[in-house]
Amino acid sequence: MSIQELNLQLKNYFESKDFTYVDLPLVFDSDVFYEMSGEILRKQMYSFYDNSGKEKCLRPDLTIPVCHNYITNSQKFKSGKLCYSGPVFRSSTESEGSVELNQSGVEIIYEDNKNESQLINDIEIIQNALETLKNIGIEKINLRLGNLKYFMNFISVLNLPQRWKERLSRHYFRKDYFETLLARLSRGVGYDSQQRDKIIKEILGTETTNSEHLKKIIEEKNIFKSSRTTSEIIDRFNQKADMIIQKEDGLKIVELIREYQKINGNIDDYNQNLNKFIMDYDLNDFEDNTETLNKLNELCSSSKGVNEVIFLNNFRNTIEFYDGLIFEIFDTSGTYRLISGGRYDKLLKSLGSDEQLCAVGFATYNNEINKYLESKSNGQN
Amino acid sequence: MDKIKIALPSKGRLRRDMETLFKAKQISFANLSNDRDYIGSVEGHDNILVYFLSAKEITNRLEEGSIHLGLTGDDLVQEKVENFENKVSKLVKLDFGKANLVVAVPNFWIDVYSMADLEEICNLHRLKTTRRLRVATKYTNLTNNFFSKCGVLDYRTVMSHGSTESAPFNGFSEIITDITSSGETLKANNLRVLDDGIILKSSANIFKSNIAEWNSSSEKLCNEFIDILT
Repeated sequence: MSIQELNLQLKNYFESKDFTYVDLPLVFDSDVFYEMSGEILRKQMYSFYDNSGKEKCLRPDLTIPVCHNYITNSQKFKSGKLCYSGPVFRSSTESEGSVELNQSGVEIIYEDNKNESQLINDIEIIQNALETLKNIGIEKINLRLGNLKYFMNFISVLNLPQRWKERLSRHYFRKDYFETLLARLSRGVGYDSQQRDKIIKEILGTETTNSEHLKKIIEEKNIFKSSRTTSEIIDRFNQKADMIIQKEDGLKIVELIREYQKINGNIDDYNQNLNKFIMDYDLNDFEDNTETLNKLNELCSSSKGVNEVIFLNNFRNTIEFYDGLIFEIFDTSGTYRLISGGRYDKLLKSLGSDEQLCAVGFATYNNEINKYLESKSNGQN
Repeated sequence: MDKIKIALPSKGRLRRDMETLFKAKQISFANLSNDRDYIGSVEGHDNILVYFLSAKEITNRLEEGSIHLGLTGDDLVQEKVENFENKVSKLVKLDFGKANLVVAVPNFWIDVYSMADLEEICNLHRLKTTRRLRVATKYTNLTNNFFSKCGVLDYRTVMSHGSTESAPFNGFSEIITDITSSGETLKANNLRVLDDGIILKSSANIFKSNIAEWNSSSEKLCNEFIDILT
């Protein structure tokens, strides 16, 4: 089967399942991808300047354009169940020697933000992904799952300043920088009173620590009305001084984060391993995610073709807008990545939606699927 | 017979420092019709042609390969030459033209001391204004690479063509990255360099263009010149 035939077959399949097809241009303003995508995708983009000097690019991804299209033309769509199919362009691709990757995918966009509907939609999207593969003759697969919300739940019980919790969550997907943050945390964070006094004296030339007095001094210096108000500067300065993590505590927290990230493995064992971790480290406030995982496990057990389900606390994806469930589907040898997907509840708001819309979706890697199907028909798998 | 082309700075501090060094090494120029001539040769080495150009132009010529050697700064090479590691090689690091490219914030931002602080400020700025924090600079490529390495994402560079240090105080940007040798200008303009905000430690160097045409004869002339200089 040619790639074009596969693109069309998947498009027709999604439409038969009540997903509305969104026809998208190949060329977009680069800005929208710069704003929303991760570092890796940004570096892979083919961009250029048009005659008016505006930076344009060949679409490197289809989720962002589909969501953008939905927000700007929502009256045209009868529901938030959307699909797409066609090429995306990246300078480094899974298909060697090709700049053109072909993807087909679905997005489910909806208003409800209750946890229950999240779970229903998470399960629905994985179910859809499994059925999609079945429809093109791929029966047996391996599934890898992760969930950024679980990591955020875990981080929330640690004895860390709120801004550090947000920082770690914000950079969870950026492996190298996340390591830099852990290294920094292990040296201790925050200003002790000595540092605080030194800064005030060196910069502001005073020995007072009274906030009102400091405010007055900074207000006099902030005569050009910078975008940061004096109160913002003082409040953040005080926050840094209010909660100090000493070096030895920083080291313990980093160890805990590293141990949490080691809990990876078969979904059947995951809950047990997580509970042991909670007991070992006395994390009594940590709400585990047993219910969600059990439901996902039930789904996978009832789907005959699922060979292995791995849940990974250290699951990372190069797409930075995912903020909940993330998953990837491979062939049983783990050679071909066939599908990846996940939840991205914050993306539509960032793209300009007035409503709080949630979303979950997946994309097929058609070049990889084709290679896998060829290898299967050649008897290699 | 083969000749090699060497580009040297035509003006400013870099020219004066180069002249002092060449004088100390007893290198003088020949075949110049006057002091302002832009083409000559090295005295006693007619096959070593000398072109006097601006540091920026020297950088361009190194990249395109129309000169064999050139004297210019790390800052210009790393900012202007795409994949500079492949296109040029540093032959001699010189003891002048020293300056750092740094990230500087308004001094009264008493809560901002590191790039990690800046990352958080950029994020808060974007949440508050829906716009990205502006960084005025002449060095957009080096700035983008450094910010990306430091995890800073919610910013955008705005091109500054001069007096960058005034940008945060005239509404053009919130912060800057700029080249500084002593830090005095930044200080005088109420700016402070972040503790880990050194993007690049730059100095003047003799660079070799890997794009230029090289053969055994030109390699020999190049070695001769470097021997005189070092």
